Amino acid sequence: QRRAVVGKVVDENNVPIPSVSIQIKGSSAGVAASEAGVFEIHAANRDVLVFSSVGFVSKEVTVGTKSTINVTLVRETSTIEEVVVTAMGITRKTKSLGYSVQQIAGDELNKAREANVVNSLAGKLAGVRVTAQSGTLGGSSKIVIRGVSSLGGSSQPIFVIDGLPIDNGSPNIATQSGAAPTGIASVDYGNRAGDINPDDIESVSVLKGASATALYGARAKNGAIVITTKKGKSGRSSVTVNSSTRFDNVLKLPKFQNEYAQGTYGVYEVAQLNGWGPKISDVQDRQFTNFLGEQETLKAYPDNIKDFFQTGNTFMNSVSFEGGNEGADFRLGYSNTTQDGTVPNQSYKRNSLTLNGGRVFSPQFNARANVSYMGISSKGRPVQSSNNPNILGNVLYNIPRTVDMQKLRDNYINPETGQQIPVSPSRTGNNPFWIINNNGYSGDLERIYGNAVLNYKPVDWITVTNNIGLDVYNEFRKGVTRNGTIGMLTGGFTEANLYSRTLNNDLTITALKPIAKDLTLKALVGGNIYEQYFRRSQGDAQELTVDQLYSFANAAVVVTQNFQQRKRILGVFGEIEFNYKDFLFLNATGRNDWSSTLPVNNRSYFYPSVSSSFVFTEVMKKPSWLSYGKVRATWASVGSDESPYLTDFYYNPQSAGFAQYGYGVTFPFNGALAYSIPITSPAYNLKPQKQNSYEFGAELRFLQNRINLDVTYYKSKTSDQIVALAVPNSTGFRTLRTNAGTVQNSGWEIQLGIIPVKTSDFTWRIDGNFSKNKQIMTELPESIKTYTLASGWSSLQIRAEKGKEFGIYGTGWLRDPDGNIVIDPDNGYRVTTGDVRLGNLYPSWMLGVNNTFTYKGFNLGFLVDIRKGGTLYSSTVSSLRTSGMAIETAGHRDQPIIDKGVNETADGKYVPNTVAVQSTEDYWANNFVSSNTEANIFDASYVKLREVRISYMFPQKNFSGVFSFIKGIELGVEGRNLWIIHDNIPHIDPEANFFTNSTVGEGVEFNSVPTTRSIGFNVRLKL
Amino acid sequence: CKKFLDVNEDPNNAKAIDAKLLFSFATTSYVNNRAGGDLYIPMALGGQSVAGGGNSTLGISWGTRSEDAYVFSAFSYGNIWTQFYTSVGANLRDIIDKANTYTPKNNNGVAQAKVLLAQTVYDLTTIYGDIPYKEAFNFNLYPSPHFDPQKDVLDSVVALVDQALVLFDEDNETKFTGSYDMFYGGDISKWIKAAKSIKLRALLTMVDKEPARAAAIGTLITDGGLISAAADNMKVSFATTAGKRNPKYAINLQYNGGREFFYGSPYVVDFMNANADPRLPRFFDRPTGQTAYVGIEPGANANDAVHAKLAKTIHVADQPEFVFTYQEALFYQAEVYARGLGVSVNMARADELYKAAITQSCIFWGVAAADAANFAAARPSLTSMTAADAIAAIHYQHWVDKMDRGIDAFTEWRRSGPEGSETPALRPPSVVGGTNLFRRFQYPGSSEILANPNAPEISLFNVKMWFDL
Repeated sequence: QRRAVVGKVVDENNVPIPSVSIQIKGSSAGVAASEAGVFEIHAANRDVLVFSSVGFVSKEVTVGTKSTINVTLVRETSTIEEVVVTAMGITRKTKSLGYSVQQIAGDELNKAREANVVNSLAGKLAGVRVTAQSGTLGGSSKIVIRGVSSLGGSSQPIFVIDGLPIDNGSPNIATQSGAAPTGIASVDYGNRAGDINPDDIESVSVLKGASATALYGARAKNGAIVITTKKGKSGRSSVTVNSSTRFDNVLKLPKFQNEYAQGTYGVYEVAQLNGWGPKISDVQDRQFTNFLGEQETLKAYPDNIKDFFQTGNTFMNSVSFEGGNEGADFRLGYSNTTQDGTVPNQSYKRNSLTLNGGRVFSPQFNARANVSYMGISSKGRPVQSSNNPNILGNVLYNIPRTVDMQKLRDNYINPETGQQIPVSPSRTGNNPFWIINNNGYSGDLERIYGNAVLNYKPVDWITVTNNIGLDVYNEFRKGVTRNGTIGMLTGGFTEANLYSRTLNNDLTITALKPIAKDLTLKALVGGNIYEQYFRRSQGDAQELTVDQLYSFANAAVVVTQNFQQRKRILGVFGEIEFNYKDFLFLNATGRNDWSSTLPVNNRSYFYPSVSSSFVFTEVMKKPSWLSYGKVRATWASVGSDESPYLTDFYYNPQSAGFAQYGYGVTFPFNGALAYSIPITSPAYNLKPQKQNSYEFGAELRFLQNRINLDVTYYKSKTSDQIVALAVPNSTGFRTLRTNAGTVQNSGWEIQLGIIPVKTSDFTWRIDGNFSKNKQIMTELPESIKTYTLASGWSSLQIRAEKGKEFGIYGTGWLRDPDGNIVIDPDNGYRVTTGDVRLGNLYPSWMLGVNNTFTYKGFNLGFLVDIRKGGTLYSSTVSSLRTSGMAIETAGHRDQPIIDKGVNETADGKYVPNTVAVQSTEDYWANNFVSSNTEANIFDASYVKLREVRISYMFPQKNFSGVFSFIKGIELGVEGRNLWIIHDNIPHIDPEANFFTNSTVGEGVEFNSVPTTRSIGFNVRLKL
Repeated sequence: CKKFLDVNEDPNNAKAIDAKLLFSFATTSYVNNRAGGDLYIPMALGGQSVAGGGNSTLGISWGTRSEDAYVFSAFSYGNIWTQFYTSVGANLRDIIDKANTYTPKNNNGVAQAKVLLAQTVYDLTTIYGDIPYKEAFNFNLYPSPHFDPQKDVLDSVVALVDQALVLFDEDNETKFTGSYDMFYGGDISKWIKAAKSIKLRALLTMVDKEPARAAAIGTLITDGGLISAAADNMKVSFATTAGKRNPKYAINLQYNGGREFFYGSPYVVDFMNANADPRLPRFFDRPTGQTAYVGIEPGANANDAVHAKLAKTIHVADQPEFVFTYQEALFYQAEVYARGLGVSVNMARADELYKAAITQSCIFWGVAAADAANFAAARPSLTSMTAADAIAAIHYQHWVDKMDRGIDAFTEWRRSGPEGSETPALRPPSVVGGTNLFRRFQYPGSSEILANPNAPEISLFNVKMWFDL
C-alpha cells in the first residue's frame, strides 16, 4: 500500500540541499527533491528510501509509519566529492583541481534577481570585478577577472553556455564622422551576455586563470564564465513559477543650492542655464521673465530635479515545466522581464523561451539539444558624453533652481506652432521633456542560441562527444532627433542593423582507465572549429523635411556605411590527468590554435598548462580541528589572436570628411569619391599575444567545516600585446598595429566562509570574498613614454606608463615643492599644468561580505560590497560646479575668494596666496571647468549595501487536501543597490563608467543617468 | 584547413585604387578643416578678426567662455594636427611616393599634390611653429620624426613648389582633372600661377627674419605669373545641398537656427566705419533699428540688439573656401614694392597695386565695380605717407580683406610687424587678465608629443614662433 510521504532534505547547516535524488531501494522508482530540498514520494511502510546527492554521504531511511521524513545529509568530509564544471563543460571533483574555480548556483543568482545576470555576480566572487556602466535599462556591465591584462580591446571573459561560447560584445556604433552630431557611440546598448535569462541558469563556474581556461584557447585569455543551464530532472514532473515585482528610484541625486536664480554675476538672465543669478530672497519685490515669457516672482523649487524622475518598475516573471525519467528529460522555460525606467519613456522588455531535452537511446548513445530564443526591445536609452543634443544629464542638472519642473513638463511644446519651448536658446537649452517625448534611442534584438550534443560510448571507458552550437542575433538600433531640437535644429536620425553569428563545434574523445593499482588515467583529445561573423549596415540621415517622419526619403542627406568581418579558428587540444589514490592529482593540457587573423607564418600557436593538487589531509594524521586540507599549483602559457584584417595595407573608402561639430561634407563631394590610406600602419608580421601565468593556492576547512578558507596567489605576465600603438601623427599614421608591451598582474584572493552559529533551527553564515590585484606595466617600447588606452575629453586620457598601473592622466594643478597649489597672482585662479598622472584606474582591493541567517523557514541575507581605491573623473560634478548649481557654490557669493594656495614670487619663492578672485562665479567657472581634469577627479572607493533578501518558505505540511498539488511556496522581499554606505565623491554614484565593455577605459563619468535602487518582492511557487 | 583559414582578405577596403581618389580626399579634408570649428573658430576669434560675443547665449560661445576669451580646446590643437598630417599630408605623400607606379606617369598629378602639400605644410608651420617635415610621412624610416626649425620648413615649402613647377606640363593630358581637381578642374596654367603665389607668400612670411629671401621675392615679382585675375583664385566650392555645405554655415544652421553666430570685431568694424567703407554692409548685418555698425570687443558679452554680426551673406552654404585670391596677390605685390623686397622701393607702383587690391577686394565682397574703384581711389595715396605708414596701410587693408579667413588673417597680422607694432594694434581680451596675445596653437599631446620622443617641449599659445618678430 503506497501512500504519500513528504519531507525536506537539509545539510548539516540546515541549508536545504536542492535536487537530492530519492530512490526506493531495490526499485527504479524515485523522485528528485526540489530546489528548496522538498520532496514528495509515494512509498509503502516497508520501503527504504535512499537519499543521495553529489558531495554528501548517502543516507537510507525506512518509511515505517511516518508521513513526514526530514533528512539531514552530512557532507563527505574525508573525501570531499564536490564537483564543479570546468573548461569544455567537463565536470571535475573540486579536490582534483590545481587551480581556483568558484561556482555559484543558479539559485544564488536568483535571490534578488538582476535583469543583467552579470550584475548579480558583483561582490560574490573573489577576484572578479563587475562594473555597471550606467543607469541605462538593459545597459551593459563590465566584468574583469584578476585585473586587466591587455592594452587593447576588451578584457572581457568568454561566456560559455552548455559548451557554446556565446557573443558578449557591446558593439559601439558611431555616426559617420562629419555626417551628423556625434555622440551616438555613447548610447549604452548593453552587453550581449546581459541577454541571458537568469532563470535558466543551473550554475555558473568562474574560471579565473589561464590554466583553468587553457582548453578554450585564445578566446578565454581573460577568463571564462561557464554557465550550465537547467535540465529536467528524473522524477515527477513539476512546474515552477517565479515572479518578482520591483520598484526603482534614483539612488543618488546631486545636492543643489536653492538660494540663487539664473544669470550672470548676480544679474538675472533668462537665457543662462545656471545658478549665477541674483539671490532669490533678495529680489522678492521684483518680477522676472521666465522661460515662457511670463512675469513671475522668483521662487526656488528644491525638488525640481527629483520631480523629473519617476518610480521605475521591474516585473520579472518566469514559468518552467520540467520532468523526466531514466530515458529522457525535458525542460521548457519562459520568462518575461519588463522594466520602466526612472526617466519617463524609458523601457526594456525581454521575452525568452528555452527548451532543453535529452534522450538516452541506448547505454552507448545519448543526445541532447538546447535552444533559447530571446526577444528584447528597449526605448529611450539615454545618451551620455558630449556633442549630442539628446544628452539628458547635462540638460537636466543645469535647469535653474527657480524653474518649476511641472511647468516644463506642461509646456515643452508650443501648441500653436508645434515648436519646442526651450528652457533657453543656449547649447544645452533643450526642454528635457522635449527630448524624452520626441527624441530617443531604441533597439530591438532577436537572438537564438543553442547546441546539440551527441555522446557515444563505444566501450565503457571511452566517450566520444560532439557538441555543435550556434549563436545568432540581429539587432536594430534607431536614434531620432526631432526637428527643432537645439543642436540639431533640422532634425535627423540614425538606423543600424547589426548581425552576428558564432558557430562552434567541439569534438572530444575521453578515456578513463585505471592503469595501475591506485592510479587512474584520464585522457582527452579534441578538435574545435570556430567562426565568428559580424555585419553592420547603417544610415545616418540629416535635415528632415516632414516633421517626425523618420524615413530616409524624408532626409536631405543620408550617409550610409556597411561593414563586415569574419574570423575563424581551428584548434586541437588534449588533456591528461593522473589520479593517485584520489588525493594526488596531476593534470596537463595542451592546445594548438590556427587563427585566420594572423599572418600565415604566425597563425599557429601552442599553449600548454600543468597543474597539480594534493589533498594532504588524506595522508597525514590530521588534528581534530582540521577537517580538510589541500594545496594546489599551476602554470600555463596562453596565446591569443586579434581582430581580422589588421595585417595588410588597405585604402579605406571615405563617406565623409571630418570637420569639428560634425559638419564636414559627405562624399561624393563636388562630384568626387574619396579614399584614404589607413590611419593605422598595418602589422605585416603580427605575432600572437602571449600570457604566462602561475597560481598557488590552498583550501582548508576547520571545525567540522564550520570554517572554510580558500587562499590563492597568482601572477600573470601578458607580453607581445597586440596593440594599436599611438604614433606621432607626423608620420602620416595615427597608430601602429604591433606587438608591444608587457602587463603583469599579481594578487591574492581569499574566500572565507564561517558559520558562527548553528543550532537545529537557526544558522548564521558569513561568506567573504577578498581580492587584491596589483597591475604593473612592466615593459613598454623605448620609443614611447606612455601608451594611450583610451581618450576622454578635453585633456583626459587613460594611459599605461612603464612601472605603473593603468592610470588617469590630464591637466593638473601646478604645485610648489611642498604640494601647495600655485595661484596666478594676476587673477587669483589656480594655475594648471599639462599632462599629470592623477590616479590609478583600478581599485587596490575589493571585499564582498554576504551574511545569511536561517531560522526555520525564514531566510535573511544581505551583501555588502566594498571597493577601495581607483579613480573617477566626473563631468557631471564639473558641470554642477561651473554652472553654480551645486550646493557648495552657494557660499561666499558676496565676497571675493582668496583661494588656499601659494603665489610664486619674482625670485622663485612661494608665499601664501593673497590674490582674490573677485567673484564666486569666476572662481568656480575657471577652476572647475571640465578641461581641468584634476579639479574633477575623485576617489572611486565605496561601501555599498548591494543586496538584501528576506524570504519565507511555507512548510510543505501547509499544503494538503485540494492544495496538495503545491510542492512549495517561497515568498521574499528583496532589494538591490539599496544604500551607498560610504563614498568619496559628491553628487553622483561612484559606480559609473562611460566606456562600454569593448574598451579598456573606465573611471570616467560623462553626463550619465543616475543609477537606481530597487526594492520589491518575489514569489516562487512549485507545483 | 588552409583554405578554411584564408579568410583574412578585408571585404571593406581596397588594396589598390586610382590616386585621384586620394587627391579628392586630401583636398576635401584640407578645406573642411580650414573652414571647420577646429581651425576657423580659434584662429578667427583668437586672432580677433572676428568676435565671439563672450557669454552671449546667441554667440558661438553658447553662454560659456570660449576662444575669444582665450579658452582653446585641446581638441582643436589635436584635430588640426591629425587632420593635416594624416588625412591631408599623408595621402598627398602617398600620391607623390608611389608616382612611379602609375602608367602613364602622372607628372602633373604629382605636381598638383606637391603644391597642395606645400600649402598644407605652410599652414601647419604657421599654426604650430617648428614641425616635422623632412622626416615626416615616412613611418618605416622615421617612426619618431624630428622637428625641423620653422625656417627649414618654410624653405621646404618653397622647394616643394619649385619641384612642382618643374613637373607641371600643360601639354600633358594626364593629370587630376574634372571633379577630382576641385581647385581648377585640371587647368594646369592656373596651378602654375597658384604655385608661384604660394611660394611668394611663404617667402614673405620668412623675409622679416631672413632678409636674404628678398632676392627670391624680387625674382618672383619680376618674372610674374602670379594669380592675376579673380578667375585664378585658388578655392574649393561648397554647395547649397545638405552635406556639401561650408562648415561655417552648417554650424550656424544646426546650432543657431540659421542665425549668425559670429560678431564683428571692433578692430575691423571701427576701421571700416572711419573710412565709410562700402564693404561694411557686405561684411556685417546691423541689428534692426541700429544705424551704426558696432563691434564687440573679443571676450566681452555681446548684446544682440546692439552689436553687428557677420553678414548672413558671408556665411552662406556655398561660400567657397579660399586658399589664395587675386587681391591677396596684389596686396603682397604692393607690400613688396613699398618695402623694396628684392626690387627697388617704388611707392607709386605700390600705391597702384594697393588700390587695385582694394578695388578687387571690394568687388570680391560684392561691391559694384564702379563703387569699388571710387572707394579705392579715395584712399590716401601711399606716396603721401611715411614708408612705415604706407606699409601699415597695406597690412591693415590686407588683414581686413582676410577677416573671414581665420589662419590667413592671423598669419597676416603676426607678419605685419614686430611685437607691439603689428597692424592693427590688438590687445588681449580684457576678461582674461594679464596675458600676452594669442600667437599659435600649442602642440597636441596625444597625437604627437606623448608618442614622439624627439618632440620638443610644448610652447604656450601666447609664445611667438620663429617668423613672428
